[in-house]
Amino acid sequence: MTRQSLLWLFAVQSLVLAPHYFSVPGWIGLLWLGVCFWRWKIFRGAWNYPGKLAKTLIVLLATAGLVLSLGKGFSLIAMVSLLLVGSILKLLEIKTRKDFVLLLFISLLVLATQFIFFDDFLAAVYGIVCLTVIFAALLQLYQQADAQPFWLQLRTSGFMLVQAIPIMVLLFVAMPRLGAFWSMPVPESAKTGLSDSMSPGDISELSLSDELVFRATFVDKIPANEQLYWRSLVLSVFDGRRWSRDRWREQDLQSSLQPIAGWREQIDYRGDSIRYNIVAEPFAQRWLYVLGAAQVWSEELLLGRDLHLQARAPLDKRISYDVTATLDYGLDVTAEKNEKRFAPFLQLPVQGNPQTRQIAADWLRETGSVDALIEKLFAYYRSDFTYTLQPPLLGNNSVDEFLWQTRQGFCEHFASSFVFFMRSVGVPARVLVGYQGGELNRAENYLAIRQRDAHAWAEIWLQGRGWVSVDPTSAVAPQRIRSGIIESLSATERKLLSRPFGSSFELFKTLHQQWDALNFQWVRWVLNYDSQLQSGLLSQLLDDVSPWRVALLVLGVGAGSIALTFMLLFLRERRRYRPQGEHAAHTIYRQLCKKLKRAGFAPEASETPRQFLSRVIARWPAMALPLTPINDLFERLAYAEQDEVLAELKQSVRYLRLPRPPRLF
Amino acid sequence: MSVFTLASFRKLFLFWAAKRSPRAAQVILRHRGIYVLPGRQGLAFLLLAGLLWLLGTNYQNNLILGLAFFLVSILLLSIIHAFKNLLGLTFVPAATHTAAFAETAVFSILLSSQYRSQHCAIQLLLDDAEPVQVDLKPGQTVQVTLGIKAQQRGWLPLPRITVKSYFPFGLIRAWAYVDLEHRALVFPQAIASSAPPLALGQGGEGQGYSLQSGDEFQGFQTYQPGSPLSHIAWKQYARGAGMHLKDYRAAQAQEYRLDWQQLRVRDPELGWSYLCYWVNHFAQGNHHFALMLPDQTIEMGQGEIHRIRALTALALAGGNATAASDR
Repeated sequence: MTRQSLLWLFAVQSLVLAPHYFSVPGWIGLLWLGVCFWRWKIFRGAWNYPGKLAKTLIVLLATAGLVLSLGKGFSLIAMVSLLLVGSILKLLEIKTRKDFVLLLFISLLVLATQFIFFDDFLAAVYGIVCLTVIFAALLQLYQQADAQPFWLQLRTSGFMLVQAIPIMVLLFVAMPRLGAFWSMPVPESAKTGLSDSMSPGDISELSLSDELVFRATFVDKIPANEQLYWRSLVLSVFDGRRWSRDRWREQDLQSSLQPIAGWREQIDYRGDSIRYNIVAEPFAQRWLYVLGAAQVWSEELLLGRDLHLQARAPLDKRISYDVTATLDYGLDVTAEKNEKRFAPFLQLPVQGNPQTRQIAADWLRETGSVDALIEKLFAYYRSDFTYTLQPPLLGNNSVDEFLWQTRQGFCEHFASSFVFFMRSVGVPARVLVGYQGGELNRAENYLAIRQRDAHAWAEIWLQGRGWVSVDPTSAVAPQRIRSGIIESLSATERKLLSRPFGSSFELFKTLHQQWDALNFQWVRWVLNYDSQLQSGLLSQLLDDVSPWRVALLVLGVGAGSIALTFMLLFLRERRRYRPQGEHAAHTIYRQLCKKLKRAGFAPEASETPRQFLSRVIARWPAMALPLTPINDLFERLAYAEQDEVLAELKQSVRYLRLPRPPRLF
Repeated sequence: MSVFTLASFRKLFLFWAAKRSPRAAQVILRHRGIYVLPGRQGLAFLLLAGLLWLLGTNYQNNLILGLAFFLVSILLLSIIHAFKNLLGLTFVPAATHTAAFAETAVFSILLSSQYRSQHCAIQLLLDDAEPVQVDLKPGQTVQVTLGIKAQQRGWLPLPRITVKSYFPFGLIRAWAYVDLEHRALVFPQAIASSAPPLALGQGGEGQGYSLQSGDEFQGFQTYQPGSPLSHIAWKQYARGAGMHLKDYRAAQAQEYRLDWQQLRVRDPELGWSYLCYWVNHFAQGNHHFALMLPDQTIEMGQGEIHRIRALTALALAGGNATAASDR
């Protein structure tokens, strides 16, 4: 085990382990430092390899540490931690070249597991850096270890990895993708997001987060901002403070493939349909995001009767889906109000918020129609309500307190009070939560929807018109709907929002958008490349995806690229070798002769450089000091092929100063 | 059964490979003579790639799958680099060396590249000896010495060399067989006999020859300039007795004439061995000696070069030597 190998190993491990410290217990990092220190002491001869007893003790301690910090469960973190601890402790045992290679192979495995936690573009770049270092460490075993500086090895290794890219891409594109063989423990996502219930303050809290929720690409034009109501969940059960899902009545889910029957016949699609694709970030729930009334949606998804879209299982990984929908639609238009199924949307707690119930009844009597009632309520909202991220806390009668006392709230307060108000006068109503708006990425023309775009609004059912969306927030803060949350807040409240790149700087904003666009392309084409995309791409390339065609493609392109790589590498070195040094040495010798000629010395035709120079020295002893080393360097360069002295020879000839020449005769 | 087939397959392969790389005065490795297969590490590496593929498929994680494909791709690429690492290597025999019997016969070979490329970690193996590892920088010529045990008198041909390299990542083993026309001279085994076979009239049976040579002190002689320092009687000089030489029997350079006809042995090989012993013996004692052999005579002489000349003649004496050099 040479010093160099050991240092390479330290470098590899520090790089490969680094991303894991975000997820595994922190003491593993300390363990690594300790083991490195110990291994270094072993190398210096100061300490010994651990004995059998010490080894057993260390392993027991590490296992105890793992059990204590992670519990006995079979979670992903526990498995990864076990792998890390194993690879760290292996460092103590490294003696032979075989151990060294084994540890590098384990490092490759560790590198792979980091991709379970991080898979964005940056992670891939980091992975390539790690790979370069790992293969440089392997390479130095098979090269003149003493002479090569580390960056030269990194360069060689990087150069080889670049050559490996074509075949890797080919395999990536053409290798058949299979489904998972068995289920694996997945990373617990600590992400924030909409939950399936809403209490006052939930959404304003969510708005503080800058985290990406999904990205949407439209086939045609992107609809106006005030039309972008991304529906996620419909909440219909109210307990006086909290709105939650009606789990019992939501079961009527339909796949896009099922024939249109039952409640789907009740959807009346109007106007042009829009088509869009959504790439949703992983999130431990199953509901998704949909704009308008979906006509066609990806077959693995289900549409609910209230037009929300959901996956069959919680989203533990990123998902991409297409939707065709109309923004203008009618739902349950022909239904009758006394139908049983509207009962849940009229449900109210038996007690609570008496003032609202009373005033709602009064106002309906005053105005006489539901439309006028809404108009009056909106006018009331507009009159002296404040849209704020930090509303005062509300007690048990949250609607009463909000409507008639505090009059400050975020979208959930408005939506909640509105629905309560409507229900208390017998209008079926429900709360909708989801996202509103989205940031347009100008680089790639898509919308990025972040947690801060979370929103709550309402839907009421009117006789003859069906379900109608109403957004009470638009009454108090119309700019929230038109241009997003940032514009709608006061300057002091804006500071509460987390924004990694202050959008006040246009340049930062552009750079941020470019970066996000790059990540989006990465997600779309690399991370989401699956069997479906694959068959699409391959059928474009081969116009028929039969196994033998794919095999032919792989073999043909693979063999072709290998042959091409070989040819390029070979042609580079094909020129037969002529020592560079010798050529250069003679050029420099001619320069020297020129200089000496000025002093009156010229070489005879038959004279070798050595003979000539010693003749000069014999006549002019003062020149012995500079000329002897020059002669020496010349001979080493020209005859001993010591190319490394070239620079020195050049320098000494260039800086050769001729003193006054001696009188020759 | 399988061992038998494996061994016979190996034999068949070696026979086939030998035909592809015939013996030559200069060997340049070309594509015909280079073989490439994954080594044990390469197989382990492939296994690792398979494991990562499984992991990637199970997690439906394209980055892990990509890493698995990358590893496979690197394995394939290693084949090119391993092959190129041997391609164009040129082997030229350098000086011929001599070796004493049962010692290591050394072969010097000049290793260079036909192309302007670097060749790393090239291992040269002779049979079961320890491999010699060389690195070649572009344009460099390196002299390599390989040794095998000398076990027979005469010309020892250089056996087939296995050239092997695991460059770049230790995953792929590239190897080639180099059959170079090169030889080393092995002197006969020295076997002591009771008396040297001295030519008639010079030593013979009448004149006894004392085996104790070299270090027997006889008396003093007056100092002659040029005498070895170790023979100067320093003690006497220190006492002020003047410069004297301690006279050893060996110091008086005698002349001996070794004659093969005086050998009383049936087996000529044994005879060469006896002569070899006496040549070494006289040379060690700094004597002058001549050597008479059936096909040549080494005239009276002294010194290392003379000894080598005599031993060379002995190594090649008789018909056996030529027989041994042909394989």
